[in-house]
This record gives sequence, C-alpha cells and structure tokens, in this order.
Amino acid sequence: MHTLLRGLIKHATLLMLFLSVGLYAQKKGSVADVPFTLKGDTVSGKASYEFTISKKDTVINGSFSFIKVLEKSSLKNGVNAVSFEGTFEKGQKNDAWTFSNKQLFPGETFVVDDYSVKFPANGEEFLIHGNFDRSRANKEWKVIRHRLTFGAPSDTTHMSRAAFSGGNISGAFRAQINGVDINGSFNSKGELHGRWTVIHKEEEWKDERVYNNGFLMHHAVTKDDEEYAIQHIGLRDRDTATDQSALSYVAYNRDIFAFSQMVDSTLSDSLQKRIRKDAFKASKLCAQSLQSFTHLDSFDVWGALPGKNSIQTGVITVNNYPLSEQERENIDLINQKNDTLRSEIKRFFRQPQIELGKHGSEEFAFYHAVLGEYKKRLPLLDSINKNLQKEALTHFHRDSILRFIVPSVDFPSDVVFEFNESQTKKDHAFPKGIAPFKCNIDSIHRFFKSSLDDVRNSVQKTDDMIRRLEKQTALSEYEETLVDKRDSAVALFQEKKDSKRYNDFHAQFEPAVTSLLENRFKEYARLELEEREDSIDYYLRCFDEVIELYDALADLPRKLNRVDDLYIKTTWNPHTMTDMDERVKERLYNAYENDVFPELIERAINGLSCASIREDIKRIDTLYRRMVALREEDTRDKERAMRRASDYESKWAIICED
Amino acid sequence: MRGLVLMITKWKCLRVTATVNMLLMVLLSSGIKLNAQGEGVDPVEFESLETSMWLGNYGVFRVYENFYVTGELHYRRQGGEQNPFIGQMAQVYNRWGVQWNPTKKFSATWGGVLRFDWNSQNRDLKDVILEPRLWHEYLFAMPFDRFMIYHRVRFEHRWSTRHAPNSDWIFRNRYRYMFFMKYPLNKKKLVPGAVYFGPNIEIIMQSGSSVINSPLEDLRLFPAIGYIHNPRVSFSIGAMYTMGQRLQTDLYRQRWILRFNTYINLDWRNTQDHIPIIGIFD
Repeated sequence: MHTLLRGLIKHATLLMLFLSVGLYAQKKGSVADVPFTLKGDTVSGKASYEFTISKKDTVINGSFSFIKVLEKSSLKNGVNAVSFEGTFEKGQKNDAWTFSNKQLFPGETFVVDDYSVKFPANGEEFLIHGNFDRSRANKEWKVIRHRLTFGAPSDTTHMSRAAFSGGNISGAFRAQINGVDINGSFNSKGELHGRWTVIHKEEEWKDERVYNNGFLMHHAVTKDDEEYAIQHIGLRDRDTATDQSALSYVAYNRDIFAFSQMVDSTLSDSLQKRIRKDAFKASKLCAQSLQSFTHLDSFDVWGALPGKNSIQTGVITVNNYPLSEQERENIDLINQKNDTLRSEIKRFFRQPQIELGKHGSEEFAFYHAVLGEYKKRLPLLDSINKNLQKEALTHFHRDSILRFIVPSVDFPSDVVFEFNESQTKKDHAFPKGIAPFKCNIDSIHRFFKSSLDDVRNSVQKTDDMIRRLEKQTALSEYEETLVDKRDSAVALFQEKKDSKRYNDFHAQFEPAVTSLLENRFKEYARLELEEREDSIDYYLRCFDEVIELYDALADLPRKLNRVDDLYIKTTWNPHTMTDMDERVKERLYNAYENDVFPELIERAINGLSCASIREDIKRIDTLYRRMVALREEDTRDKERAMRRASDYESKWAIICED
Repeated sequence: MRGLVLMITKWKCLRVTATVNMLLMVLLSSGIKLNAQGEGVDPVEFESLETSMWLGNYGVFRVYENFYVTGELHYRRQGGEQNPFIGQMAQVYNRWGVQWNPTKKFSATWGGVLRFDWNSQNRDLKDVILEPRLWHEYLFAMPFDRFMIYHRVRFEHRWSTRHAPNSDWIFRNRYRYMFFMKYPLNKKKLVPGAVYFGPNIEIIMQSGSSVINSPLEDLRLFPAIGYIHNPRVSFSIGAMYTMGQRLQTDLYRQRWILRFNTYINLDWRNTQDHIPIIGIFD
C-alpha cells in the first residue's frame, strides 16, 4: 500500500512537473529585415533577430543585427551607415557586440564585377568591439576610428583598449588618439588608480597624473625636459574620513580639472598659458577616449538598444558641493540676462543708422561709446556665464573656485568718444565690476542685472534718434529716386534716352516738361525736413506722371494713324480701275483733326502742372477712344451738331460726350 | 526687289500693248479685205460738219466680290437742217452688262444694248426705230505712279433697220478699240477732288453683209476734262470729233459732239457683316 502510494505520488509529481513546464512553454521565432527603430531615433532601420514571447511580451533572445543607411544632405553624395551586431539573452546584451558607424563617399574609380559596377568607398569608420555579461560590460573592449581609402581601412586615428569587469572599467587602459599616447589604469571599482601618462610626441610634452582610488594625488606637465607641477585647488578640501557624503564619484570630467588647475605663478605668463593648455588638452583627450566606449559624439551607443546597460568608463573622486536654491536661481538668471544683454548690444550695433547717428548727435555718440564698452566685454561675460553653467561647479566650494573661473570685469568711470572731430570725455555710472577674489554668485548676478539695465537704458536713449534717422534714411532713398526720376524724365523729353520712341509731340512738350521738373524740384529742395517727409510722395508721383506722359505721347502717333485709317474708306473704282481713299464722317474727323486735338495738345502744354498731367493723359486717351467708337456709330446727329459748333469746348463735348 | 516688280509690271504692260496692236492689225486687215470687195473705189468725200450733244450716265454697281452690274443711259441730241446745233432728238439708249473685275488691271463685260433712234426730219419715215445689240468688252489698265492708261476692246453684234417703213433688218459686227488715259491735273493721283485730263481715241470698225467699202464706221477723238467728286461720283466734259464712213458709200461723216458724262460707282453688297477694326495695341 505504501509502495503503491509512493508510486502514485511519484507519478503525480512527474505529471505536475510536466504540466507546469507546458504552462510556461515559451514561443520562439525570428524575423529578418524588419523595421526597427533605435531609442531616441526617428528614422527606422532594418533588423533581423531571434525572439521569444514570454508573458505576451516579445523578448529578443538570440542573435541580433541592425543596419540603417541614410543619405545625408551634409555628406555630399555620401551615406551614413549605422550597424549593430551581437547577441541578446532574454532581452539583455550578452557576449560579443560590435557597433559600427561609417560615413562613406563613392570613390572616383569603379570596379566592374559581372553585371555590377562597384564604387569602393572612401570615408571613415568608428567601431566599438565590446563584450557584455547580461548587460554589464565585460572582458576586452576596443574602440577604433579609422579612415577608409578605396574600400579598405588606411589610417587609424583613434584606438582605445580597456578591460571591463562587472560593468566597471578596470586594469590597464591604453589609447592612441590624435597623435597622443595615453596609458593609465583603474582599480576594480572603475576608479582611476595609479600613474596616468599622456604623451604628445609631436608637440613634445607629457602630462602625468597619479591617482589613488579616484583621488588625484599628483599632476605635472613635462615640457622641454622640465617638469611643471600643477596644483588643483579645492579638489580635495573635504574631510572624507568623517563625511563620506561630501564625496562624489563622477565620470572623468575635463572641466573639473580645468577649473582647479593652478600653475606656478612665478613662471612667465606665456609658459603658464602653454602648460595650462597642454594639461587641458590631456584632460580632454583622456575624457574623449574613455567616453568613446559608450558614445559617438553625443550619441549614446548602447543606450540606443533595448535592455539595461552597466558600463562605467572611469570614475574620479571629487568633493560634493550642491548648489543652493538661491545659487541655482541666480545662475539661471545670469544665463538669461547674459543672453538678453548680448542680443540688445548686437541689435544696437547692427542698425545701419549707427554711423550716421554718432556723427549727428553728441548724445548719440556718447551712448554709442557706452554700449561699445559693453560690447568689448561681451566675451568676458560669456565666459563667466559659461563656467557658471557647468556641472563641475558643484564639486567645488564656490568661495574657493570662483576666483579661478570668473575673470575680472571692470568699467571706466567715464567714456571717451569722438564727436565733431574732437575727443570728448564724459562720466557714466557703469555698474560696479566683478572682482574675482570678492565675488559670489549673488554679486555676479547683481552685476549682470545692473549691466543689462544700463544697456537697456542706453539703447532706449538712442531709440528716438534711431527712429528719426530711419525716417531720414528712408527719405534719402526717396530723394535719390526723385532725382533719378527727374533726370530720367528730362533725358526722355530731350531725346537723350529712348530715342526710338521719341516723336514731335515730345519735342513740343519738352520746354514745358523741363520747366515743370526743374521748378518742382527746386520747390521741394526749399522745404524743411518735416515738410519734405510729408510731401515727397507728391513730387515722386508728379515725376512718375511726367514719365507716364512720355509713354502716352510715344504711343500717340500710332493712335493718330489708327484714327486716320479708321476714318478712311478705300473703294475700288471700276471706272478708273483704281482704289480711291475717301474720308468718312468728314465733318467729325475734321473737327477732331483740325480743332479738338491740336487745341487739346496746346492746352496741355500751356497748362502743364503736376495736377494736370494725369488729366491731360486721360483726355488724350478719351478723345482717341471716342473717335474709335464713333467710327462704328451713327454720327449723323453729331455731324449736324458739329456744323453749328464753333469753339473747342462744344466740339469736345460733341465728340467725347454722349 | 522693287525694281524687279517694276520690270515685270512694265513687261506685262508691253505685252498688253502688243496684244492690242495685234488685234488692231487683224481688224484693219479685215477692213482692208472688206474694202477690197468693192470695185471702182470713188475718191473720199466728207459731208458737212454735224454737231451733236451726248449726255451719258455710266453706272457700275458692285454686287458680289469681283462682279458688277453695269448700266449706261445715253441721251443724245443732234443738229438738223431745221434744228441746227442740237435742236433735235437723236438717240436714247441703254447699255447694260455684267462685269467681271478679277484684277486691278483687267475687266471683262458682257451684256446688251437697246437703242432708240429718232427721226425728226422726215414725217414719212418712222419716228423711232430700235436697234438691239449684244456686246462684250475687255479692258486692260496700265497703272503708272500718277496716271492711268487703258486699252479697251469692245465687240458689238447689232441688228439694225432703217426708218423707212418695211426696211429690212441688217446684222453687223462692230470692232472697237479705244485707247484712253486719265491724268490728274491738280492731284498726284486719281483721288477724290482730282481734276483730270482724259484724252481718248477710239476706232470703230464694222463688218457684215451690208458693209461694202465702208469698214471704218467711226474714228473718235475726245479730249475730256474730268472731275472725281468722290469714289462714287465723277464727271467729265469735252468736245469729241468723230469721222466715219457712211454705209456702202465713200462719204465720210464728220461730227463735233459735246459730251457730258457722269460716272456712278455704287456698292450694292450687304455691308451688315463688316467686322469693326480692332486696335490690338489699345
């Protein structure tokens, strides 16, 4: 019985195990060349991968490959190819992975292969070969950036090698980047540890730093066989033994070293500058080569793929001085005010009236000089703002670091400016400058605020004059146009221009037109500035109408000929075997030809004025159109009326009025 | 190019002149032949000079493109023994035809004539007799810059009788060639208002069974002065001297004839469909 019971229990257990396995069975599958979008990207590439469906979720599980090729407008005829290849294990990166970014340009020569024409590419490739252990960086990693020539790697410009363990970089680190050799090492926590050398063979300098579990212990630059020690102020001023929270473990940060580095002040300025420059370059290249394991420029390489990432590319240990609320607010305000100040000054100096204004008004010249003082100091203000925005600031005590990252800014008590070819000096209440040794973030903010107020005030003082100058400039342009139109009209009527269209009517009008143009121009010239502004349009319109009159007169012979033709009837006379022209509606035509038209022209010439031109043109056109229309109309009544008409007005009325 | 056109024009004119001259030669030779039929030719004698007055109205009415209807009405008076100068009625006749005017240098007309011939002297004779004719003419115009020259050839087929009662009808053919010109005196062209000098000379030959020794029916010399009032109305006036053989005699008749002519030219086509001229530059 017991045996039977044991057997039943055994079988039941096996059955339950079998059933439970069945309940949790995972569905496997694979896809090829399916659209796949990297995190943070908007354009899809193509991916092929194996997957399992677990709890209704698709989990990449197995091999994975991705490629995205883009024709970039920034690459002339070139393409950008991004690819990943590796393995996922239950959604986590595992084992060997390769990331590649190629920028390729088709070469000028090609290869014919069967029915294909291939253009071996030139360009550049950025490669990361890495290893993961369930999403944590592991084993050997290598970064290579090389140039490609005719379809093959030709020149390596960057190579970094490091080992990772449990996600942390550890052990020896070697890199070659832009002609610089970097050698260093990390402890098992990924902290910089031991001697780090950066050697620039070409420029012949060496940067040497010694770290102890992330703390920078020693820093020196060797140049021309001379070693120059660099002190880092404020980098280790906390009592780490008693207050561990005062420490921060941050990624290698060039700004932190740049903020704090102090060179022996007894050295010459140029040498200090060169040493600081070399040290900064060493920091920059170290940061760049370490960051290259995870980033291509600002692109987070591994973060673009699914799954977690644990890749620590080097940690330094620094102080932790978080910004207070007030400091953060002031830094934000400094940033805003700096932007406003810069744009106000740029806008002021971009105005084309500036040059006119500073020669036209002493007050303007003064404020121009005031704003010029600010313009000169814009790079300094920018630099202060930029440093205050950096994250590195939070790792230093502000009292000790601001003196190094905030340059001295001061203003004179007066400005010297030139007006009427003489130098003038005038007081101006510039804001109190920034003294690096006495400043704090609040005082810097007050300085920016005062500066912005002063700039705005100065700009406002010049605004009225700028507006006036704008009007004057516009007026000058109009006056140039007025002179052009006058000259053009005179040239037209004196047959110095467009002589093909010149005719006797232009010659008849010429004295009157010339006189009108000259008199009106003199009249305009005698006006006050305000009156000129008000009346320039009137004169421009008048001169335009003179040119319109020229056009109308140029077309007049054609119109006269047409009316002449219209009022001639050609009849074939079989008695004489000739064509005979005959004037039709003779009384009407004669009145038009002999009386109305000549009188109209004579009156237009004698009474030529700005007010009459448009009307004269209109009357000439009206007469023409009426004569054309009357040719087709029954004009017997008009011709009878014309017999009694004796003066111009009545004849005009008969022809031109219904 | 213009020179070439002028040469062609002149050459064409010469050809027209040559054609007319050949026609004249034929006519004259036929006249000579006709004349030769008679025997014992008497010496030429001229009758005493007669006087006449002809009033003529020449109408041309355009009816379709190049086709015209022509209509002439002539009123003629003459002098007689009892009614000298132009004291008695001579003829009234109507000439009509259809004219084809295909070019500016040529026209052809076909039509008929009905002439009324008065007898005012002998009461024993019929007062009025009729003379119907069929006619066709061909006009060749030669334009020059200022004036026009014309050659007109006209053929008439006439049936006539005499005033004497029971006179037989006789049939004759007339062959007429007229050279005339119109030369404006006060204008540079023949345009309305022009007074022109219009000399013309016409020779009229005839043939038929009754035409014996008398082929030269008439030779007319007519220096006219004309005036073109407008394309539709013209006038001319002149004194014409004519000389011609009396039928079957050697007597030559001579006349001075005062002629007053009006020329009417009307267009009878429908003008409702004329398209107004459009000024494309307006």
